[in-house]
Amino acid sequence: MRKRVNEIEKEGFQIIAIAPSNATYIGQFTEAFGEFPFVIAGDPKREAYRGMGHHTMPKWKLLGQAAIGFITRKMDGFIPKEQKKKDFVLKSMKTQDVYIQGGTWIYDDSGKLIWHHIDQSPEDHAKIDSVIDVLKKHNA
Amino acid sequence: MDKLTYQLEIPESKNVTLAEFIHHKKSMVVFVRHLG
Repeated sequence: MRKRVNEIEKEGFQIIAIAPSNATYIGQFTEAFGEFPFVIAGDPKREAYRGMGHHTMPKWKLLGQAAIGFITRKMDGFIPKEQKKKDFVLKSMKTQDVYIQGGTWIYDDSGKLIWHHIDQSPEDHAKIDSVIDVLKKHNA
Repeated sequence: MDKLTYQLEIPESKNVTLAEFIHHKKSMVVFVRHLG
């Protein structure tokens, strides 16, 4: 998504990323990975996540998928090579809620929900091309 | 929009609600699984 920010902003939409972490942790993340071209806000108690219907994946299912990903090498590149980033990711896996799933919500300028996608699993992200199509259709 | 009263934390800033964030702006809100 970071690479497609311009296309989204060209359609007149601001981007807000929400993470299941507190402000201090988000600060540590941007120190390790660099600034992002959009706001990253934290929902450490996951009230917005849960209130909006985001799922918590069962631990056994997530660990099973991770094991399959490791065996099939689909997880190659999951852990960054750069030490500072690698340390951050490993710390995340130990200290953060990695079971909560994400999603994408699109609102018009009156706060009306236009479209949303709630991820059913870690691989089930909204496709960025589909999202940009939604933005373009809304503006048409 | 009234329902979006969840408090969000922002580094070096005061907390805001999701509703305040998207007020008067077309917005794409992405909930991520985790950072990193």
